[in-house]
Order: sequence, then C-alpha cells, then structure tokens
Amino acid sequence: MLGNKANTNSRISPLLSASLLKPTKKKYKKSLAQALVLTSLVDAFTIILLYLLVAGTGTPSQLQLNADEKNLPVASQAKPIDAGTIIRVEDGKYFIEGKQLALSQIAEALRQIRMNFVPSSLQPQASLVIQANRKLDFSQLTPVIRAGSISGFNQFKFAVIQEEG
Amino acid sequence: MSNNKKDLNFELDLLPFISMLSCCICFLMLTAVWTNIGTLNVEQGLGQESSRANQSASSLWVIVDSDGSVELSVKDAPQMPSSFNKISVFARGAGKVDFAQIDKITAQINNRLPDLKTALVMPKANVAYGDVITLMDRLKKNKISEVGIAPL
Repeated sequence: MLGNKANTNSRISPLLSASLLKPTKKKYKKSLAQALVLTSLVDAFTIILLYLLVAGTGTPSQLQLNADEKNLPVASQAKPIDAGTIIRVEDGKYFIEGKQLALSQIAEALRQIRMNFVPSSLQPQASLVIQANRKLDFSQLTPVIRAGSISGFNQFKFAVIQEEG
Repeated sequence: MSNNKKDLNFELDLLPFISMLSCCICFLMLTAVWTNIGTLNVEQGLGQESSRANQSASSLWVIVDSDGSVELSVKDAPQMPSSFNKISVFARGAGKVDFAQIDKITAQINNRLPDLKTALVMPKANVAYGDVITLMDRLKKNKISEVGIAPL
C-alpha cells in the first residue's frame, strides 16, 4: 500500500505540480519521460480549423454536382461560389433548390423566393446561380434568365469549373 | 479526518481532441483543394432591376449565331472608325467559334477605346451554353469587366 503511494508520487505530472488551483507540494522528479505540453498545439489546431471553416467553405455543398461536375463550362475569370438561389437545368428538366419544377412554374417559384429574400452582408443582392451542362442549347436557359429577370433577380451566376488564367 | 480526499487537479486527456481536430483539418484542406467550382457573374444591365441604369457609355454588342459565326459591333462610340460598327468573325470548322480571332478584335477595340468596359452577349437559341460562357470569359479576360447577356 505504502509502496504504491510512493510510486504514484514519483510519477506526478509536471502540469499537476505547477497547478495554481491546488499545487502538489511534492517536487517533480526529473525523469527521462518528458510530458509534452499540448495546449498550444490544440490552440493552433483550433485556429486553423476555424480559418478553414470560415474561408474554405462557402456554400458549394448546395450544388448537386454528381456526374455533371465535369460537364460544367470552363472559365478562368470565375469568382469563388457564394450564396444564391440555385437553379439546375438537366435534360430539359428544371430544379430549383433541388426541387423539380415545370417550365411554367419557374417564374412563380422564383418570385416567391425573391419576395422572401432578406439582404444580408453575405448576400446583399438577390442572385441566381445557374448550373447547366456546357453542351446544352442556350434556348433551354433562356426561360430561366427571363424568369429570373421578371422575378427581380439582378445578378446571375453561371456555375463553372475554374481554370488557371 | 478522512484520507479519501479527492484531488481537485486533474489532467485532461487531449489526445482524442487533437486526433479529432487533425481529422477535421485534413478533411477541410483536401476538400478546399478539390473544390474548383466558381461562378461567372453577370449583373442585369437593362430593365427595372438594372444596377447601372443611369450610366450611359459605349458598349460592345456580340451576336453569336448558331453556326458559330460571331458579329461584333461597337455602339455609342463616335470616336471609333466606322469599320468597327460591324465586324464578322466566321466559324472555325464545324460550328466552332473562332475565339482567337475574337480575342484579336477585342484587343484592337481595347487599344482604340480603353474606356470600353461593357459588353452585351446575344446568343441565338441553338448556340451551345459552353460557347457563350467561353465568350463571356474571354471578354472579361480582355479587360471588359461588365459583361451582360441578352438571349435572342
């Protein structure tokens, strides 16, 4: 019992002996096994994590790219994707925020979204993100642009694959 | 007096926390590298919602035909020679737009009219969406920062 207690004291951590809350009176014995102070490492990791969360992730996860990703048009003057109402055109079908709509319903759906739009620092203007295959005829996008204009969207963003300029 | 006094100090085991943070950082860094999707932005230049309704400046109109030919014309620029009123660029091969030629002409226009910042792309119905985006991208690259779109 006594031997066990002595053994515990000899292995006391340098962090515990330096504690301000209730410092242990026993002096820390020098040993070959050094305790690594991990607090600064955790701080650094947390800062990196927060930076990556804030800077790296806008709203690209909203784009349902799947197999269509490689078929997006390519542009070098593209800007990083940010917030906006996403409209996807796929084989003559129209999806607003993932929900399939008939061509005649697009203007009304966009008008509803525009009415509920509240300007914020992240999204000061109502913008429409258009996602379509590069081989698509432009005539399939014309109704979307017209509906967006009628509904009051004043910024159109075409989803593209960024290329080095 | 009891010997069973609980110690107030304890060491927090940080290793699982560090492991979790490392995993999160690795995931975010990898996804940030692979996410190369952006947007080519176009602001409405005409109509009620126009953001620059009060501005009147010279502009470049680009009409794209379904056979790949392109017609460029500089509007509201009296200082420009009349040869720039209508420039035709014929398709390169089977319906392919000759972007290199358009680049050359845009550069010439830019040299003569450095204040030109607005272009309006007017694609016809059967033009490929990819060609329209490439054209808009090239115009932006040639210092025409405000590119609009008006479907024909």
